[in-house]
Amino acid sequence: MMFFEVLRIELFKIFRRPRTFIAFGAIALIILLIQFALKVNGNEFILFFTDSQTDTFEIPFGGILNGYFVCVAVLHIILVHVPLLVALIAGDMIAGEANSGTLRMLATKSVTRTELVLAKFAASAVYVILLLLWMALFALVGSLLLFGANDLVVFKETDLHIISNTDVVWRFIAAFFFAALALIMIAALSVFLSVFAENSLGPIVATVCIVIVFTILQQLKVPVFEQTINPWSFTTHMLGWKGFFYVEKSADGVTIPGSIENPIALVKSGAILLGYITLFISAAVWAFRKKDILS
Amino acid sequence: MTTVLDVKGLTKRFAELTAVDDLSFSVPAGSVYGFLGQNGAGKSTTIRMLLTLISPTAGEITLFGLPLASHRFDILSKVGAIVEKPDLYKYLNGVEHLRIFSRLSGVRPQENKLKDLLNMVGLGARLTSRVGTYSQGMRQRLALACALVNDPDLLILDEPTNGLDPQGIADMRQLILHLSREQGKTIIVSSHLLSEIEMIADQVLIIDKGKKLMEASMQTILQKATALDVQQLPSHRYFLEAYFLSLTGQ
Repeated sequence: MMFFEVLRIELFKIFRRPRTFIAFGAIALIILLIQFALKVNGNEFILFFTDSQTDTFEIPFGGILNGYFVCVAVLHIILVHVPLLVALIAGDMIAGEANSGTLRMLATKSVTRTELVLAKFAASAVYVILLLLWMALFALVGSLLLFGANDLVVFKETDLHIISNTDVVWRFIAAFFFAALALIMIAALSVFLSVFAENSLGPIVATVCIVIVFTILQQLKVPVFEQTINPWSFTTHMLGWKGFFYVEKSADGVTIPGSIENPIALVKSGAILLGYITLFISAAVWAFRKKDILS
Repeated sequence: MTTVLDVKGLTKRFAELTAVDDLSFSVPAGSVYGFLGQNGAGKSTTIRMLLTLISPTAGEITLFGLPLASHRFDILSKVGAIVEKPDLYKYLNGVEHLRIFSRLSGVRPQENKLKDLLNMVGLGARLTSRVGTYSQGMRQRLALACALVNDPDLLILDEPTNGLDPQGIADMRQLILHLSREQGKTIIVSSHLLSEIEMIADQVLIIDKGKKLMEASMQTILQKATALDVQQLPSHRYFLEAYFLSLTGQ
């Protein structure tokens, strides 16, 4: 099938471009810096979350600061910024080719425009998955090597969730899958915007601006947005991966192994993200099929 | 004589602007077909419609006896094209470009053939150099190799000599003649270099403001041009140029 041939070509092009490796280098560097900071000043970092409880409890810093905890901290800090790295590649997929004049060369070959858009989106999705595997390698494997394994303590507002280290790995795998879904949605948005542009800067900047605007609306936490936009905003649901680290507790406050505090919310978030992916890619295919290639 | 391309009543409107207006013409098999017009005459728009880059507002395009609208896939597998000045992928080399475009044309790339093709367009010594290091002329020749990678029956070249130096223009002319005479390909060439078209075309179409001014064999045009009062056109060395300017009222 021509789709797989085009996908193969798109992947080849992505991984021959020096720009692609900026994201991999940036992620490795940021994670190493965070790990270094936590190795040196980890107790201060934990104090930031446990400040209100230090008078009541003695905080076991050594136990809390382990590889799993560091990995969750890394994900909290950097996943918000990864959409920019995804937009750098996905926003360039069509608009970049329009700018260099290669889009018209591709479109005059015996490949349909639908196959072209789908293959470009699929290649962006593969890039996202590889980026997350790379992140997992540094954030999880690297942190375990540097800090060792222990039970995971997760802070949620004024609450603490303690997860046994035998119950943690599957949560990380699930969280990475969920993060992949969220970032693939960003790739879909970028590819969609890329259809309308003649150079890659426009869709890259537009994607980042859209993410920033919806993130601000979400962080404002005012009723007018909380009741209207935020329940459907993709930025709200992109953070769904955190849900895998919030556990259900028994009546006496003990964590129930293998539990998730709100599985329905996770499923809903996943479905909404899938809906956005379908919407953006369908719209991209529709627009690209109708587009006059004048560049 | 069989025709490779038949265009009937082709029209393209962009909002208020009619870029191509009720254009009809036919391209005989095996010919070099010169497509002439001033800047903005509608040449590139017409060529983009022939390649499905732009959808026509009205009219029919028949290629190899099949309507383009319903047989796009089959038709484009027999067509090669350069549309204006492509920059190509600067981070890839010449052979990698040919591999990509042969696969996109549904052809399994054979390394020897790809190298032969690059030798034919004069890039044999730069097979593995990145395109970012190529001159504009070399990029144009690589684009031609990409257009030829599926051994097309019809070659559509939109301003193929744009950005080329005099030697590059002469090389491109020789290549076009070689492809036509030695390989029997039908070639449509749009250009504003009338002298070049005069040297290679068998048949010429002249358009202005999207409308056909005339379609005739080069022989007919030369006969008409010699009948012009050349005293009024002393600066024009070429018959086609003289005739073109008299037609477009310049």
